[in-house]
Formats: sequence, structure tokens, C-alpha cells
Amino acid sequence: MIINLALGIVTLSVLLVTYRVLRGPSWGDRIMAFDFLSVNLVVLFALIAVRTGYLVMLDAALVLSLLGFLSTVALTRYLLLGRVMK
Amino acid sequence: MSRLTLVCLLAVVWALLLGEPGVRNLVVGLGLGVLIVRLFPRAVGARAAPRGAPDLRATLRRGAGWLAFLGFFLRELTVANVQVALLALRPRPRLNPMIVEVPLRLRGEGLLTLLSASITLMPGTVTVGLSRDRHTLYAHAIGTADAEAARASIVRVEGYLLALDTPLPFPPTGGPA
Amino acid sequence: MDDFQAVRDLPILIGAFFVLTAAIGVVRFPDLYSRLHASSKLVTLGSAGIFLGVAFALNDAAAFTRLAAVLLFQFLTTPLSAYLIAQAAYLRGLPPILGDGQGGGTDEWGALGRADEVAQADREALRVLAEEGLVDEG
Repeated sequence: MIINLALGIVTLSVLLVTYRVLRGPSWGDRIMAFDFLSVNLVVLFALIAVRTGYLVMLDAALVLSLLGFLSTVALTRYLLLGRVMK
Repeated sequence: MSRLTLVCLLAVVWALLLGEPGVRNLVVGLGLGVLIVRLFPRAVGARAAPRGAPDLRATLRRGAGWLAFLGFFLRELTVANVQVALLALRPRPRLNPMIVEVPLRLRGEGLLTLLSASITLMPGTVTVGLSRDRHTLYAHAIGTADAEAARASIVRVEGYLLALDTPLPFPPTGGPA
Repeated sequence: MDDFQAVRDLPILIGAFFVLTAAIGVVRFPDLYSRLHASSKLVTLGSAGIFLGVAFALNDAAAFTRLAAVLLFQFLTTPLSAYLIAQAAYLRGLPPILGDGQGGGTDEWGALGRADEVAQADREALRVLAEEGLVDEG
């Protein structure tokens, strides 16, 4: 079934990117890999919504994509300025 | 962006997020939009709608410009994806990375944002920075033959955006008018 | 029914392929700036393909609007985060790898190694944030 195949492929890419999070070598690499990871999880949630039929998963995907972008902004701001706010 | 457009946009986004675009949700969204624009006038950069009758021909020309840009963007996005996928899968990719400097003719914060965002999704280039006076763009390029080729691809995108040079989404220099 | 199946499956397969190549690119490319090419371009089209396929598979109005919202948001934010990461890394002094071993690649910005440029960018960013009332000046 195509959904299972896609789930497998996306999970494989999550594992590959986790290697990049752990390996680094710079902080920029880690932030980029985390951003990539959040997008991957959004895709994974969308696929799980098809697999299980729970539409609630799509709300989770929406919230996760918002949070992923906001955390990237906060992390890069911290990297650049040494603080997030105040 | 005029306040009215912004409020309508916020109402549509509200209805999209709820997932049931009915009359009631749109009305609630409109109310929330008015509230948000009232509470944060600077943050959203809203302006009052321009006075006077709208120029129909200019509006049509601008619409055609946006459509042309959209088509160009989607085509280039596909090309970019195939190119980067080939680079990622090839056993010994010839990346030839470099950072190029592009003098800009484009002005206005909104269009500059659109330019830097769209060249990030187009073949070979990722925006790295803008100079402080906003007259020069710095982009990281891979998979291009030389600096001239990378620069030419950015100038081509800029050409599309110059055609729709109207101070749209954001006012040119901070603060609402 | 078979036609419908193909319409649903093809975008999901293409999308999953692009997401996987993005991950491969992120692991294989030599430096952060090259990896950003993979993570910004490939992920955008890859997730777009998967969302399209999922929308066809679910075939439900509520699901469709939510997926449209996620897709739109993805298109708006992916280039922005790539730009933010590249700029922060560059101004913090991460050197890009240039050329392919035969010369030719140059860094035309050249702000690296010029500490005053970085400090200037810091002050500029802080000033903007202070104007917005987000941080205390100094």
C-alpha cells in the first residue's frame, strides 16, 4: 500500500536528518536539521491521518508547522544576538 | 496592503484554520480581523485604502504580471528540485559553491522580501544577506558554471518583479502612513 | 476507481522521493550553505506533493482547508527560515566552502573576518528591535 511505503520513506529521512542533528558540526547545521525535522514530522502526521483516518492529526500538523517555524526564528535570533527577547 | 484587504484575508485564514468556511465563521473572522488590525496597527503595517477610483487598466496589468510571475515561479521551482535532487544523488557532485553579489534595481521592502524568498526556492541560489542600504543582495550559489550565470538567474527573477513594482504588502520604510 | 488511485498515489510518491533526496542532500553536502539548498528547495516541493496526495486521499472539505493552510504556511516560511539560518551562521563567522578544488568560487560578500561588520549588524539589529519595543537598548 502506497501510504505505508511513503511512511517508511519519510521515517528513513527523519533518521538520516537525526544523524545531522547529532553530528552538527556547527550550530547552524543543528538548527537547520531541526527545522527540517519539524517539516518532516508535519508530513508524517499528514500521512498518519490518511493511514488511521483521524482528521485530528491534521490539526496537530498545523500546530507543529507553526511551532517549528517559530522555534527556528527564536534559535537563529539567539545565535545572532545572544538573546531571544528582552 | 490596505486595512480592508487585510481584514478580509484574516477572515479567510480564520475560516481555513477552522476547516468549515461557513457564513458564521467568516463573520467571526471579520470581527477578529478588525480587532487585530485595531490592536496591532504597526505590527501588521496596515494602511487606509487609497482615495479615488481604482485604475482598471493598471490593475489588470498588475494582475497579469502576478500571474506571469506565478507561472515562472512554479516552473523554476520544479527545475530547481530536479537539479538539487540530481546533485544529492550523484556519487561525486560538482557543487562549485560561491557567494555572489547582486546589485539590485528593485526597491520596496515587500518586493525585496518576495525576491529573496523566491530565489531561495529557485535553481542554484539561496539568499544569505542584504546590504544595510538594501541595494545589494548576497546569495550562495551551487551547481552554476560561474558567478555570472548565478547573477543572471537572479536578475531574471528581479525582472519579473520590476514589472509589478507597486508598494504592495508593506509600506516602503517602516510605520503606517 | 483506478484513475482516482493514480491521482492520489503519484503526488505522494513524488513528494516522498523529494523528501528522501532532501535528507540525503542534508547528510551528504559538504557545508551548511549547500545543505540549505537541499533543505529549502526539495522539502518545499516534497511536502507540497505529499499534502496534495493526502488531500485527494482524504477527500474531505475540512481536511482540504487545513492542508491548504499548512501548504501555504510551508511555502511562506521555508525560504524565510533558510535565509535566517544562512545569515545568522554567516554573520557569526561560519566560513563557506568555496569552489570545487579547481578554484573559481569566490566570496563576494567578504564580511567574514571583518569583525566591525558583524558588530555593526548586531547593533543595527538591536536598534531595530529596540524601536519595536522588543528589547531594552544597550
